Order: sequence, then C-alpha cells, then structure tokens
Amino acid sequence: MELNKNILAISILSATLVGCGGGSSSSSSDDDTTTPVAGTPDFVTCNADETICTLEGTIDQDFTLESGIEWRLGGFTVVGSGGSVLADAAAVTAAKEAGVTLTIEPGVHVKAFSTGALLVTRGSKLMAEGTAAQPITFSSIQDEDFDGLGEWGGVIVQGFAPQYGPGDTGACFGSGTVCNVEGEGGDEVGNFGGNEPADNSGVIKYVRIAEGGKVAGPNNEINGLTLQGVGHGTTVEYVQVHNNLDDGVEWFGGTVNAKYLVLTGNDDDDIDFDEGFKGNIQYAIIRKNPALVAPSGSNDPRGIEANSSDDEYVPQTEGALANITLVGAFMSNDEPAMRLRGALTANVYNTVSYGFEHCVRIDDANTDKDNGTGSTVAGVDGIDELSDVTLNNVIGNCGDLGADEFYEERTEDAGSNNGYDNTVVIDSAGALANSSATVTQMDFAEVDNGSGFAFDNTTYIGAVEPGTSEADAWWAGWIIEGSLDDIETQDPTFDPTPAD
Amino acid sequence: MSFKRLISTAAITSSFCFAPAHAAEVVFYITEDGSAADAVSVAVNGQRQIVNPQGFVTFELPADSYTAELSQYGAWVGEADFTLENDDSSEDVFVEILGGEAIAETSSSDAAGGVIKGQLISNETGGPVSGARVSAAGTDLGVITDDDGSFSLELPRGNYTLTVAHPSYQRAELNVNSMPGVPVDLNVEVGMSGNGVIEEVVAVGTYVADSATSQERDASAVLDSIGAEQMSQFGDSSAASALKRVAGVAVVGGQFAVVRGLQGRYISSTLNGGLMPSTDPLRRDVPLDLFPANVLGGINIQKSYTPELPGDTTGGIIMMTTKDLPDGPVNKIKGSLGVNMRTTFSDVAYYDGSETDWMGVDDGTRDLPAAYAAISNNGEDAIEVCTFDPEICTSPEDATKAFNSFDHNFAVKNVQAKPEKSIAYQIGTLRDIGPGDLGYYAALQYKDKWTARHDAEVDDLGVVGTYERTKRNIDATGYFVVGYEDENMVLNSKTTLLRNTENTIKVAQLLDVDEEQPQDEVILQWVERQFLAQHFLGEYYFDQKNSLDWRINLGQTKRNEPDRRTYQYLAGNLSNSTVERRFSELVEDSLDIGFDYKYETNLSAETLLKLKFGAMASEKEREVTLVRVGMDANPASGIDFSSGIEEIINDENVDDGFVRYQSRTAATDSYTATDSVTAYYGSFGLDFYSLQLLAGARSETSEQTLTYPNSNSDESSLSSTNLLPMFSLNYQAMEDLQFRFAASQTISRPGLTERSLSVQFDPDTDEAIIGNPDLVISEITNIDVRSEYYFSESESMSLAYFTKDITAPIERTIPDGSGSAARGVTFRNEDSAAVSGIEFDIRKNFIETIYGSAFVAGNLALIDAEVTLSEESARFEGRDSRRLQGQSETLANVQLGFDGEEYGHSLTLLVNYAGDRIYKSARSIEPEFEEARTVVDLVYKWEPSERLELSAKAGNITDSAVKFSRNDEITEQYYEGTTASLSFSYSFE
Repeated sequence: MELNKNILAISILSATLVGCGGGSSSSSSDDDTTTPVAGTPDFVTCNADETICTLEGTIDQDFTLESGIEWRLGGFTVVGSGGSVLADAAAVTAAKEAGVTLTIEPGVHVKAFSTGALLVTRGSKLMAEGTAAQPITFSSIQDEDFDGLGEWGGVIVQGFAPQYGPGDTGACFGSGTVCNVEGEGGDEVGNFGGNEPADNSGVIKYVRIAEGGKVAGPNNEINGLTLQGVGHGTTVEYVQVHNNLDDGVEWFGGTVNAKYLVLTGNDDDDIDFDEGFKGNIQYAIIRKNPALVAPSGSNDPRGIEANSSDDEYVPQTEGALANITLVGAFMSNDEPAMRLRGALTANVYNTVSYGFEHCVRIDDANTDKDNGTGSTVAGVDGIDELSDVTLNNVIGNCGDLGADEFYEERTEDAGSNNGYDNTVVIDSAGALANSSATVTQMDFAEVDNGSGFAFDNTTYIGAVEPGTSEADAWWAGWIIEGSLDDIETQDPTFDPTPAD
Repeated sequence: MSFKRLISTAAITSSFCFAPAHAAEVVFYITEDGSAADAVSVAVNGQRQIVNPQGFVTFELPADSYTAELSQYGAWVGEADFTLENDDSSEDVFVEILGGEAIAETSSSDAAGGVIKGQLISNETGGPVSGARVSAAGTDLGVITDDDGSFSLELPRGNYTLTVAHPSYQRAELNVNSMPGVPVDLNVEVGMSGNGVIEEVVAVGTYVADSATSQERDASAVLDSIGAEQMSQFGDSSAASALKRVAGVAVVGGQFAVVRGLQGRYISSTLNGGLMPSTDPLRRDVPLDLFPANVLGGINIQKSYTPELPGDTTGGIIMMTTKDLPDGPVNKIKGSLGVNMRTTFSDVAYYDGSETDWMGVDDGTRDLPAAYAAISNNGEDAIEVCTFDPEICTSPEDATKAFNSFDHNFAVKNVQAKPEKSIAYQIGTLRDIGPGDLGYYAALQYKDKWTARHDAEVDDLGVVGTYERTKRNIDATGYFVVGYEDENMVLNSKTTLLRNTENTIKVAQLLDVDEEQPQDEVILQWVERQFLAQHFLGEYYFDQKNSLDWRINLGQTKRNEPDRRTYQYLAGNLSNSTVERRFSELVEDSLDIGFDYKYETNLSAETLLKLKFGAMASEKEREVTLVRVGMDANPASGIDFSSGIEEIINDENVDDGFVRYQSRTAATDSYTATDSVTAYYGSFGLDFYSLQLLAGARSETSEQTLTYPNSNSDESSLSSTNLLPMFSLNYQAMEDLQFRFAASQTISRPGLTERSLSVQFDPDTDEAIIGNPDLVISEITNIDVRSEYYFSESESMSLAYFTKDITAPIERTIPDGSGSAARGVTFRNEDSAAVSGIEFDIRKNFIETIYGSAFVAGNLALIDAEVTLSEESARFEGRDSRRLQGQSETLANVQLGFDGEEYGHSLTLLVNYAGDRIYKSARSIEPEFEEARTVVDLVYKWEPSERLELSAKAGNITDSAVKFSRNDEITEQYYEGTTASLSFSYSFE
C-alpha cells in the first residue's frame, strides 16, 4: 500500500519531467524519444520500448536490472546512501535500515559511458549472481569489443568491515565504533568502514568487468573491482577483470574472501590488498597484456601487490593465497610477479609465476623514514618493521629466462619447496604442465577473519588442476572470449613495438 | 624634566639638517591688509617664486643690485630694489600690499630674531593640544605648548624646520622663517592617526619613521606600524617585505604573514578599513605582495584585538591603507633594473605562451578552445565519441576537430632569463580652493621579474631527484585617489587596479627509489590575479568632541588560471593519465560598508572620556569554476610513448584517433559561495591621570554558504553570532615608561575552501586538498602584557609577553582516507592550542657625528605554540601534540643604519631570521620542517639633489639554501640567488 503510493508519486514526478527533457544529460534512446515509463524511479531513464535503460544518480530503493534490457551507466551510479559521514552508532543502524539492494539478473550486459561507475555503499547490497552460461558483464559503451582500457570507471563496493590506516594508524574506528574513511576513486566515492567483519554486501558471482579504470584525478584511477571495507558475509567468486587501467581487484581493508578470479590485461596490479585486509584467495589466473610495450597509466604492473611501503605500512594486513598462476608480458618485465611488503603477514601456497623480472619480492618497512636509526636488517638503513612471509610450493621462472632471478630483496621467513624452476610450462588451460606441478598435500593456513573459510587442500601448483582440458577448466565458458587464448605461448621477452 | 632631555637629544640628532648659507640671501616678507599675502609671485634675476603660506619668499643670489617684480593673481602690483653687498650679506624686504599696490621697505638684516607663535589643534578632537614639544631643528630651543595649545618661540633670523612632538600625536614638521619684527602666527593641526607622513613629505634626514613611533606609542592596543618612508629606507618593494621588519612577524614564502607565530588563519587583514577580499581559493589569508609600495600608504600591525577590529584578529591584524592625498605637488618617475646573480642571463625552463604574455595578459591562447567547449558543455561533461545516438554521441569527426582546436603545446625549452625591470610614474597635487583643499594622486607601475630555484634537490619518502623552477612575475598597477579636505571633513575616492601575473614552469627529474622508476614531471602554470576596487572614505568632525568615519568599499578579485598543463614520464614513457590541462577561474565580488563614531570629552582636567561605537557589514560572493581536461591514448596505436610529448600529442595522432582529450571535471569542482559578516561594537575609554582604560565588546554575525551548481551535493552553511569582549589598561608610570595589559576574546573561522566538498589540488604538489564541511569556528582567549620605555622621541624599547588559548583550532592535517585518498590533506578542529611568547623590540641611535648618524633597531620574538591534537589527528599523526603549523620558535630582525645626511647618503643593513617551522604534518612520521634561515639585505640610498634619488640594493647576500627536512635529514633544498638592483626616482617638481 505504502509502496504503491510511492510509485504513484514517482510516476507523476517522472511524467512532469518529460516536458522539460529530463534531469539527465545522458538520458538516451535510439529513436530519440526518451520517455520515462510510469513507475520508473528517477535514477533510471528508458527508451519507449524499454529495450534500453540508463542508470545515473542514487539508487535509493530496491531495484533489479532485468535481463533482456540493455542497461547503461550514464554517470556515477550510487547504490544507497551509506557513503555519507555517519556520526555515531545510531547513524550506522539507520544507514543499514535504509540500505537498498541492486539485483542484476544473469546475462545482463551493463554498458557504461565514460563517466559511468557503479558504487555500492555500506549498508546496501549488490546481488550480481550470474551463471557460467549467463555471466553478468560490465564494459564500456564505446564499442562492442572488450579491447578498450580506461573507458569507464569500475565497480566499487563498500562495507562496514574494519579498515586500518596507512602508517600503522590503527583501526578506522579508533576508540569508538564508527568509521568514515574516504575511499579512493575520486570525489564521488564517499566514506566506508566500520567494526563489523561479518558485514554482507551481497554476491558477485560470474561477473566480468572490462575496459574500466577511468582516471579520477592526477595519478588516480579506478580499479576494476574495488572492495573497500567489505565484510566476509559477501561472496566474491568467478570474477573476471579484463583490461582495467588500474588494478584488477583491490582490497582496502575488509575481510571478504575470493575464489576463482581471472585477471587479464590489467594495466597495474591484478591482486592488490592493503590497509588491514584479512582474507583468503584461492584459484586465480593472472595474465599481463602481451600487446603493450609499457603500461598506459601511471602504473607499475605486478601480479600481486600486497600492502604499501615503509611509512605507509599496515602491519594488520594479513592475506593467504593459494593456487595462483601468474603470466607476465613485455609491459611488466621490469616488475616482480608478487611484491609482498609493508610489514604484512602473508602466506602463499602452490603458486607459479612466469615471465616477470623476479618471482617474489619481499620488502620490510622503514616506518619512520629515518635512515639513521632502528635498522633490524643488516646492510639496510632504517628498516624497523619486518614482513612475515610464508611460502610453500611457490615456484617460477622469472628474470632473463634461464637465469635464477626468483627472489628480489630477500627470501621468505618460513616454508619449503620454493624457488627458481626453469622447467615451468603453462598450458592452454592455465595449468602447470610440467612435473613440478604435483606436490604433496599440505595443510594451508587460512587467515582467521571470522569467516570459517577453508582452502581446498590441493596437491598441485597453479590455478587449474594439471591435465584439465581447456573446456573443463573452471574459467571455461564464462570469461571474455579470447582473453586467455595463447597463454601457453606468451613470450614476455617479445617487444610488441611496431617497426617504423 | 624628561622633556628637557628629549629636547637636547632632538637638537643633537637634528643638527645635521641645518643647511649653512652658501650665497647672499634676500628674504621677502609680504603682507596684505596686515596678514600674510596670498598668491603673490616675486621675480628676481630670472627666478620666480610664489610666497609660502606665511608670506615669505627667499632667494639666494650672487652679490649685486637687483629689482624684484611683484605680481598677484597674474597682475603687476609693484617692485622693490635691493643690493646684496657680498656673499655673506643678507637683506630683508618687507612688502605691504595696500589697495592692490605694493609698498616695499628694504633693510639689512641683523642677528636679531623673530617670534614664532602658534597654537596646536588636534585633528581628531578639534581641540587644543597641550603638553606638546615644539622645537626648532638645529638649535636647542624648544617650548612646551600650554593648556590652550599655544606656544611662543623666539628664534634667530633664519629658516627653520619646526618639529612638533607629543606622545599621543603624530610627529609633525613644518618650515618657518624667522625675521626680526615679523610676527609669525601658526595654526598647526596634528593628528593621532598615522600614515599621513608618507614619502611625499619632505623627510630628508628622517631616518627613523617617527610617525610610526608616535602612532605606536599612542595606541591603546599593541601596535606596530610601517610607513612608506620606512619601506623605502629598507628597499621594501611590497607589503610582504616590509612586514618582515616588525617584531614577531615572519613572512612565509614571500607572500603570507605569520604574526606572533600564528599564520594567516589567526591574522585578519583590512584594506582602507574594510575586510580584505581574498585572491587565492586555497588560502584564507591575503598574499601581501599584491600591493606595491607606490600604492600602499602604510601598514599598521596591531597585535591585539580591540572592538573596532574584525573578530578574527587573534595574532594580529594587518591594516593596509592605500595612499591619501599628497601634501603638495608630486610628479615623479621611478625606474629600476635588477639582476639575480644565479638567475639572470642563465638558461631557465620556459615555454611559448601567448603574444601578450609580456603584459601579464593572456591573449586567449590559453582559453579552453571554443570547439572543445561546445562539445563538452564547457568542459563539464565527458565526451562520448560514438555514433549510435546523436543525442549523446559526438561524432569522431567533430571530436577530432575539437581536440585539434587545442594547441598541443606542452614542450619546455630553455631561454635566457632577463633582468628585473620596473618603471613607475606618480603625479598628484593638493590645491587650496578656498573652503578647503582639493587634490589627487595617481600612480602607474609595470614590473617584470624572473626568479628561479637553482640546484633544487628533493629526497623524501623514497623520491629522489632534482628540479628546475622558473617564475616570471609581471605586475601592472594603476591607482587614483581624488579627495577634498577641510576643517570639518575629509572625503576621498580611491580607485585601485592591481594585476599580478605569475608564469611558473617546473621541470622535475625524479626517481622513485622504492619502485626503481624514473619519474619526470612538468608543470606549466599561468596565473593572473587582478584586484579592482573602488573605495569611498570619509571623516567628519562635527565639533571638538564628535567625529565620524565612514567607508563604502566595493571590490572585485579575480584569479584566472587558464590551461595549467601537467604531465609525467614514468620509467621513460609518457603516462597518459597524468596529462592534464586545467582551467580555473575565481571571481569574488565584495561590498563592505562601515562607520565608526567617536565621542571624546574632558570630564575634568585630568579625566578624558572616550566613547566609540560603530557597525559594519560585508558581503562576499565567490564563484569558482574549474574544468579539467585529460588525455586518453590508444595503447594499441603504436605510438612510441618514450618520445617527446609533442611527438605523442599532435594533430596527426588526433586525426588518426590515437589521442583524445577527455573532460575529467568532477561535479563538485565548481562552486559558488557567499561569506557575509555583520558586526557592531561599542567601547568605552577613560584616561585618568596616568591610567588609560579601554573596555568594549563586539558582536559579530557571520554566515558562509557553499553550493555546487553541477552537483546534487547539498548546500553547506555555517553561521554563528559571537560576542567578543576586550579590556585593556595602560599605565604611564613615567613620561617615558608605560605598562599595558590587555585581555580579549576572538574567533577564527574556517575558510570557504576548507569547508568545501570540492577536492582541490595543491598547486605545487598536486596533492588532493579535501575540505571538511564539519569544521566549526575556533574561539581564542588572548592576554597581552607589554612595557615600553622611550629613550627619546625616536628611540624606544619594549618587552611584551602574551598568551593565547585556542579552543578547537583548525589545522591542516591528515585525512581519514584510503588508498590515494590517504595522501591528501584535510582540515580538522583539534582539541586546543596554547600559544605564549615574549617579544623584545629596540630602536637606538648610537653614533652621531657631523657627517651623519647611525642607528640600530631590532626585535626578537620567542614563541611557544603547542596544539593538542584531536583523537583522530593524534591517531594519524602518531602523536598527541605538536607545534602549531607554520610557527617558528624564534623570529629575529636586526637593522643597522647609517645616515650621512650632509651629503644625502644612507646605508642600511638588514638581517632577518626565522627559526624552523612545521611545513607540513605527516601521517605517522615526523612532520616536514622548513629549516631556520637568515637573510641579509643591504640598501644604499643617495639623494644628489632634492629631485633625484638613487638607490642600490643587494638582497639575500649570503644566499643560503632554502631547506626543508624531516628527522633532520634534508628533504628538499634550493637556492634563490643573490640579487642586486639599482633604482632611481626623479621628481619633476
């Protein structure tokens, strides 16, 4: 009853807007007759036959992107209003009660204009649950392919899980319970964080995010999937980020675990976690773009980049990763496959790297930026906080192929069966195809973030079980077509610069 | 008793002013109907002069016989014959004009003197001024005015400079002739308010700004002042450089004042009595170098609050007044030429701008191209290059055309830096039109100056490298004042146009040590600042007791920053996302009206009552537009991104669709804001014997609103009404010793951009500046104690102690941000701050010979200012408290001067020291400090004649490095170079 009245009010409002051309600069249609349909809220504008609908503004009520319609992001689209400053616990409760859910049906292709980005604020949910047969896709509207880079923003999810400040400045809630951390990604990204590790921001499953990473300011790009303070009640599985101008997936604090990631063609790092993230990641294929000479943005493209350096260190950061395959390219061959730093704790298991400058780089932190005092590492000035890195069954062939350039800076603190392996061969399924692939079963130590997450205790190295056919791989069928083609022949020494 | 000593001191110091006669002399004294004649001209031997107001004309002539021709209003009235026997003789010619005919009587003069009589009248009260000392320079003769303000002084025959001095009034000097049998009757008006005696007054040999000292001495509050005389003495070319000379004042970056360790946030500024409009959207204080010396009449710095001042006068107030009417004809040209030992003639980074850059005006080259504006809603909207929907899409053809309407001019080249040059012209006069005086003064100035940072090095937070930065400043000034003054009123209209253009080129070659990645940065920035103001100012004296000052100030400030270009090469490749062209403009219109009413009366012989009340209203409307245009390049285009930027961004690559411009303007980039303040106040003063009491309060209501026309962000506003009381007590223990005590409450409001949702970017570092809409007004309790001792009229010593307790001080601090948003800066109300300090100030003459005299002046401020951080800031900065930002613990100034008045030479050595201060607080690590620095300047002046003045200045003689540090390790340093300049000024009349 109440709802009906609202819809009526909205439809009257929408009808009156027709006369003045609507409120959106990106209101669109193919046949030039933009007609908001009765009952449509004001954050959405559709063409007459409702085949194309454009979202922009704040989605302030539960809403579903139905399949069969071409959905467009006309600008910065914000789900809920949890991004505003929440002064106290009562405001947090109110924000949760006011939370809305944006549901995206399987098979929906969301096309974004260049100002488009989707931000899900804390207290609200994104239910984007595709299927292997009908994945959900985000890409730019500029063209039908997925070859662009930085053509629109990206997907940003914010939650009430804790964030810890750079520089060991502690939990965002300080001595209280409320957080208001300004998120990265431009002016329109509001505040996130809280003291609820189990917070649930919804489901992101069988989702492909391509061509994003638009510049939001000098040296400021948007990640493909940005997870800011997202809690472990959220599901992130079977997600591909392709050709993003910044990182593939970046965690800023939070506790959300992830499985089955395909990260291809991204211009910066692929997996990046920081600011007190506590979580687990299993099964990921990372592939750098073989067609690029150098990164296009202000980027230093690595496979895994964990935590920030030195004075920006966050010792609360704790990540466990298993079964990752990392394949480098010419544009990334000055960078390590994984860089673990900033006095973090990291456990990496059953992972293979190929074709980066180094496979593993571990850095400790000079937290006070004072080179004169407090060095705990011989020969390195000023280091005063150490990272704690455990590696087991982490192998690779990095550097000038054939030379042992496995480690950069230092070796791990604990673990076994790690190091240079020049026999590494990746097959077309993304599996390790040589004899190093099979290892004895061991117990992976999960990060205890309260989720009860348990790794599959695999007996192989790499993201895909050796011997799996391309068609049977867990990524088969739902990822962007061609995005893993020829991974088995990728030559990171090949300079794609065209001859003059 | 003390006056006696004062007189003898004055006699000694002034003795060099007395010019001996070099030739025979004839003095005409012309009267009409018994009193001094008006408008009579006397022509002798080809020379023609007009009588002075006392009726005298003096000629110096070789020994001979002469006939003088006298005319009045152009008509012949008579002639007089006289003979000068030899070079030492002198003749007096008395001329009486009766019925339009001159009757002359000539007599040889003897040593017998005349009597100078007169009465001193207060400008402010219209009443007599008693207790003033009237003395004749070059003699030890002096008298004190009696209760009626009258005096009578017998002086030998001759021409004298009479000096009038009183503790509460501005020093006055006037020229008189003493002749036997010729009674001279003078009515002398003296004023309490300062700045009247500026530049155009003949101040030969006045080496300490006496006007400033008297003004300082009079004020109930703690006041320092600098007149234009002093500015020129020290070679100060703008307000900013002059302010460095005042106790407890430091100037940051050559532009912004720090008073008593409190930076711009706690200092208010007024221009001609009205609130100063702001010119920089990122600052709430006023860049002092906006005002050149030939427009500024004077600067007063009051370091304590009184109710007639703006409520945000905490550390102090900088009161600038533009020039008033001249005292006589002015027609003067000035020019200067200067070199910087490092910069001038060396190769510096530069780029091709527009044809009219030399004037400080962009000819439109830097404007957002019309074709681009047309397809992007003036740069607000992103461009969708596509064809599927004509309503949304821009066709590739239109887009290409629009993108190629940019000049693609990014490249930096080397050019030879030119010498600094300036030219200025001043003209004005004051004419008696019967009931009063009518006058005008106009000034024009042009200045072109190149500066650069040399051997600049950076080594901080893992970034190491060098950079070059060139700045070319082009200033153009026009000023016009016209006014009328008589016994009862003063009316002035002042029109000011100031333009300051800054062309900055920065090229940095850095290495990100952590990422092992070279990082080359280029910034090309052109900023035009313009200030246009029309001020109407009036003073009206109803009678001896009541007076009214009023003002109507209209102003407009503009800051136009078209086409600021930035880009970076990372690891040798152009990083597309760092390419940005930014177009921003700020326009602020302001209206400020106000009045002050004063009533003063003697309740008894020993009791003076002073009542003052007034009101003001100020309204500022600011409009800020910001457009950002970035660049996208197709990574698959085959462009070699390691080549020069003009090989990448050019017409061909745009035509091929490889390179596109794209708007990156955020919805909150543009905003409009209003800032209004209305206030009324009243104060009560009582002078009782040697006690002076002042008490009063001000009620101030303010409102700020910000709206974002392109965004759906809510309007943000802050309003409040504050009652600000003050109390002060002065005790004059002896004639030359006084003690002061003052207590007051003041406030500090957040600046508009500090509360703005719009993320601004620091012009130097590109750091995001994130506003905090939750900022509240800080409240401050001030206590001042000061004692002053006057050795003489021009020599003094003072010692002061002050404390300021600040509730909720606003500091620039670390944002609660994540990722790149953690790297910016924001503003926060901290818990509290406590500032206390000691100031010592001395001015003393120490050598006095027949060739000249020398003086030493200096001041020293020791300040402790600690801020207790809020819980949030404490967490981010990793400490509970620290020093207040921008505050040095030690500030010192020493001036050593030598005046060879006999031959018109003077030499002044200036040493300025500012202790280290927090430049920027940092997340979890030690703040970055600006290191202590000493600057030494030397100024030499020579006046070969009354019309010509030459000066030479050597600046920054030691050329010590400007250094920044963290943990005592240098993070950045550069050299500014020693400067040398020569200037002349020539008066045509």
